[in-house]
Amino acid sequence: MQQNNTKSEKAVNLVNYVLLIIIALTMIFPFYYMFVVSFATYEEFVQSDLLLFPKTWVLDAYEYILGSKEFVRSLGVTIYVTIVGTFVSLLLTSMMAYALSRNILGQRVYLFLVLFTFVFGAGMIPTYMVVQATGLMDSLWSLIIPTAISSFNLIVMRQFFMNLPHDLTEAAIIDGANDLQIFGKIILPLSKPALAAFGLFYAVGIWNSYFTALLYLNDPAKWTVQVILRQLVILNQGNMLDVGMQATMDNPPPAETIGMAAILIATIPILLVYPFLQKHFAKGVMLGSVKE
Amino acid sequence: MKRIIALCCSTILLLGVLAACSSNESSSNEKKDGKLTISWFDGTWENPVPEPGFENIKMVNEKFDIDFKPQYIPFDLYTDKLAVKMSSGDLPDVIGDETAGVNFVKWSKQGAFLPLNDYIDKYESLKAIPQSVWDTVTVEGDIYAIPLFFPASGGKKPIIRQDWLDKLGLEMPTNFEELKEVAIAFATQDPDGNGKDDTIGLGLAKGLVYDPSFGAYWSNNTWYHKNDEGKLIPGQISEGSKEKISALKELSDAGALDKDWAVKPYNEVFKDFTAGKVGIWYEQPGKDKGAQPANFDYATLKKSNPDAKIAAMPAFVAPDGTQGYVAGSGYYRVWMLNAKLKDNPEKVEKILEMIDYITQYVPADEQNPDNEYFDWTMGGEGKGYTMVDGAPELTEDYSQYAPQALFNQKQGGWIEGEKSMLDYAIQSKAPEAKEFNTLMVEMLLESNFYLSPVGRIHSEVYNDKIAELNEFATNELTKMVAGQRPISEWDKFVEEYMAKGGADVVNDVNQLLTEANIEGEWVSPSK
Repeated sequence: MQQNNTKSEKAVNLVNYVLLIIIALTMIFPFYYMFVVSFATYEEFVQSDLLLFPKTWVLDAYEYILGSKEFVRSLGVTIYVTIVGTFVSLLLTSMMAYALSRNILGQRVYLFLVLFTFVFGAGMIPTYMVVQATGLMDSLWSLIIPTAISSFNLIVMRQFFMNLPHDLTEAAIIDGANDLQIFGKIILPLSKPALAAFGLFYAVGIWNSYFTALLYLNDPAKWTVQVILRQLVILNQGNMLDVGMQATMDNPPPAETIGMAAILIATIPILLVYPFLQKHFAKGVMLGSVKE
Repeated sequence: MKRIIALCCSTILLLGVLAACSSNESSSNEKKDGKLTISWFDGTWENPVPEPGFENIKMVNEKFDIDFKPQYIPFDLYTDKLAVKMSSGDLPDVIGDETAGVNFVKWSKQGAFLPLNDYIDKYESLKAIPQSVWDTVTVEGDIYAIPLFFPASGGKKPIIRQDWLDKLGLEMPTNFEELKEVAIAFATQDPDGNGKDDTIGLGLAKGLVYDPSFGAYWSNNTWYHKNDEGKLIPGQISEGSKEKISALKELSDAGALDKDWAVKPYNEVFKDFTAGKVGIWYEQPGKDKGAQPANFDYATLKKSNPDAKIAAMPAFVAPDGTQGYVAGSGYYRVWMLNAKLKDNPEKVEKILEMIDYITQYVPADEQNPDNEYFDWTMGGEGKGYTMVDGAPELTEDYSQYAPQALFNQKQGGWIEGEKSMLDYAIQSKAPEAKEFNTLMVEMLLESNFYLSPVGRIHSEVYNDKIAELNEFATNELTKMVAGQRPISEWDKFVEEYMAKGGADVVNDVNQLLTEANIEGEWVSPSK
């Protein structure tokens, strides 16, 4: 950064900082609000228009959530599916992307097929029928396999592989490495930033998957945390179209404080992944691999 | 050439792998160990959602000597999954839903469900279902669903802060003139005595939810009024609606409404009412109603306002001399049978036998372990429920043990009619809920109810257009109350409504009503 800032530059910087801070606050505030409400007593929450700092801090909402067998179990399911699913997705996507980045037989046909699904989705009901016909129904794999390869990620990753210097692979071939060795020992280690980025995309996608879980899983024991979360939270939103339903239903929806606590618990694990992957984004991709 | 052959081979191999997976579809109609397998797909409000290994499913298996294969989805998510399941042809033996709505009619016409006309006379519990309810599950003369009892006089009704009335020396309002007076006094004369101008006279929420109508004459979605041609018309465009909207406009001008009401979701108003800031709002009788966080919570209200006292508001007397609220549909939840069971009367009878058994009514004073039937449906004392002060209280594991949890939330049975609402006060746990239910049910048992005829026919034109028309009317009426559109444009609003398809709906509905010889009628369900 240059040190000899003029006054006008300083003013621009100041305005930038203020704007960015305001934007950042609009992102952070909802989280802060959820955090605060989740620790407040229900009475205090009801009494105040906008609760910014509760007078009494209680753990009731968290006790309720963590005492709920279904919620804890669903959180476990989600973590499991996310880890396995991200691994499977990354493995399949990178393998296919690498293969398609080389000049292989039928490359254009396969690329066309991938691009085709990118442009035209099959729709919910045909996909449901495929999942049913392939025997994936009511299996956690139904959350992983049908969405294992995102065509967008595949194409971007293929582009990334194509930009890797060919000299590297040629050098490996001369050293006697076969295709798998090149892929495993040269390409993948060089692609850590890409893998981190796409891994994050996949992980967040699977973590948030809710409708597929609802459609394909029949046994409540296998439901993911988002399904349970919606149960806890949606009844509090008051924006449902079907008011008649709310009017006739008898079970009390849980208090808002519990909903907030549930959202936090369901969000924090995936948020925690970000800082660990961030260092990969910042690093240079090809740092010192080949001298041109 | 070699390359092309290799490509073809690999593609065929790939397809082969996919095809190989698809051959293990199971047919659920087979008998297992000589027992009937009954698959059942339904929504639920139970928490936890019943799972295959639960005790109550084993109890049902033993009781009916079947292999019971139910699957439950929380009701707020149920419609989505049901639609996909129906479209993909993946149908269980029994399909549940909350109401016999648009989809029910569509699927019935497509032949997805089994007509039950020949079966229902054989079952005692089904005989007591009133004709008006049978009408709602009948499509082109065939009965396609078994409805479950829900009190027709239940549902949200207005409640008022009696302590505020007393403090300001006002009487319970009996018409819109008095309502205006009371609501404005509530908003301006500091009824809670905290010295601040922070009270709202009449609670109103986004989309005019719960409809501040105080009687069938003014109601939004009820077909009560007739136009010049003698045809029934929807409530929104009626004279009653005009009177109501004019009154709301005056309240708005006088500052008796929340100034943000047009964008405020109804649950926020519940919150405000529970916080003691709103004078008139809505709640319904029901087990534990009046003591539920997120709905009306009497106990929380009393904590911050020790003098708070709630009263139920009787319906206003209408200009034509009638007085009463709109009757609810009179049922909640329906069960349809798969049309494929046509050739399997044994299974149909077994399913209806289960329904007949599980929907019997047990009066509140017999709800104890000595009643064998009650004890079984509740999963046994100490498991599904415990007795507290002589009344059953559900345990946290209720949905694991009680067969009842697999079928319906007990609202009563068809035999006993509306008086089963008296049970709510006995069944409710919190003293505030008992108090609330007592005062609500007292008012409701005294009231008359108007049975809107529209629910008893199935008009395709109505089903197609009514949602859009309702949205249009709600928007325009909201604008009128907020002062963005003058009420002097009322006739123009009615014309617009008719032009947007309202006229077609009115014609079709009236024609069907004439054909079916159904009219709107006043009933006193509880007398």
